[in-house]
Amino acid sequence: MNAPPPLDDIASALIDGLLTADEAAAARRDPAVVERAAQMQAARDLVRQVPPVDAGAGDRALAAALGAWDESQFPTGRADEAAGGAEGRPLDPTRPFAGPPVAAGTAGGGAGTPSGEPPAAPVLSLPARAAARRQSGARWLGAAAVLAVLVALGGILASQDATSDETAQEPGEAETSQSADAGDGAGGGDDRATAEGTTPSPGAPDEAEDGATLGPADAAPRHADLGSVGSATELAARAEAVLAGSEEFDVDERLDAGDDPRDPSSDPGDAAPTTTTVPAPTCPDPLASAPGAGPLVLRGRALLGGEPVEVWVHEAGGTRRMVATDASCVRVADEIVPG
Amino acid sequence: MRAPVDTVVGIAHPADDRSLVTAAQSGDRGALDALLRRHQARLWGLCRRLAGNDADGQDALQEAMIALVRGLPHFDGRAAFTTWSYRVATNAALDELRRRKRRPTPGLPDLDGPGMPATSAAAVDGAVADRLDVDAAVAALPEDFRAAVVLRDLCDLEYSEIAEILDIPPGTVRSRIARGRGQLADLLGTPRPPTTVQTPTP
Repeated sequence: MNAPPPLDDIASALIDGLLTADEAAAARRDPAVVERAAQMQAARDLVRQVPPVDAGAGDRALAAALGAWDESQFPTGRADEAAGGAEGRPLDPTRPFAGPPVAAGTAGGGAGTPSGEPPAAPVLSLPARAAARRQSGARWLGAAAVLAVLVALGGILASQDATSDETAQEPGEAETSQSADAGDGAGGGDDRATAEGTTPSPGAPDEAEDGATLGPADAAPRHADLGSVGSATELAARAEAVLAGSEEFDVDERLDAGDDPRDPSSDPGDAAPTTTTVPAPTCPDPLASAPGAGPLVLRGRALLGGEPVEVWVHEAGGTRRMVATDASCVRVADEIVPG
Repeated sequence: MRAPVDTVVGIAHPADDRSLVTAAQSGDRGALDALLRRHQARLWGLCRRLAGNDADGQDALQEAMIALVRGLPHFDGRAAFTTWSYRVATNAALDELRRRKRRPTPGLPDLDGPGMPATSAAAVDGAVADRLDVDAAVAALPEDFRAAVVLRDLCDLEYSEIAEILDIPPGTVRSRIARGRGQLADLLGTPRPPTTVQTPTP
């Protein structure tokens, strides 16, 4: 590399105090050095002015990092799926900025990784998130296509069975029931059922959801629409308020699956509103199999930064932990609920 | 008039870092959470400056924090956590930059962001112009110079620490910082003095 111009070198060294007393005194007597140092100092002051991180972005980064940690501690199938869809190579945090790879333990930072050691855990890198989102979309399309075929077959069979009105099922009913099944399958409901040792009944998807996800009937969680919030911290505060029973956005009603904007198979026009049906979550409870997470005490949905999310709050040992997942079932918030 | 914006400040106390790192490596999720929150603003500053705009900076921050979590089991504490985290974040941010070549120019600043307090329109315009100028100027630096200048002038790291992070000799660090600062001064509209210095070389 070529040596920097003497003026810049001396001015930069003057700023950083790298000159001896004699050298510094000589430099300060030279107007050109003084002026150049002032210019560099002005540029330095501008470089140091960085706006603070947006709260939502900070929360997302933190949640992603903690999610990666959770995956390394308690690996799940979903992490494997996300890693399989990754486009980019995994980050190697120990790789030096330039030059050859650092051998284990040789870097001053002590960050060496034993050669050949596999990554500690699959993580949801940004390309992986995009790939997972695409895969999720494909799954929805597939589920919707299967549903359409089933509805069409049901209609044909019903029309052919003209002699028995009692046994003919209304297409609208079939669609409603099968919508819940399709949504459950696409969202990974099988994992949740397996984790709890419960097998959902095909004929009663809602009851199966309750039994598999929500725990015993005597400890049924609350359900709430937490509204629109800007950050995970605010979402956690709302969850706390709902659990305390003091906020009006706790509608505390059984949300209907037909209203779920993330369920492409649902049709609000066909699904009769009801206040007795627990919606089939589109994503599995992220903490369903997490050791020590405790029982689910609140399930809800919200708009986090304008994006629809599902919210899960578990309580263990007096501590409530809230996790939110986006439409791709990627964890976007992970907070301790205050109070 | 320029609207004030926050300056990234603060170096976490190393002793507290050590205890948090040890606890996190033992599986304490709360300690990991505290450790990440403690260093998030500092890492954001680095990622934001290296990335050149808010959107890429946010992505780089996320990648950096995930990389930190993944690398934490291998961190043996021979260097300060701060230094090690800067190394990880620098790599993550530059990796993110290379992946995001689709956005070669700095994005428009977020006028509603927390860094833009409610001031007069002229002050906001001045701040926006400054941010664009600085982002564009930093982005125009060669990658080698950019990392060295940001680590020194924003993160206040010593030359030896920068040499360790960038895996280059300290003399090269000094050269890159001097050249980078000189280019930045020129790019930001402060032209080089006309005369040639004749002072002794340090």
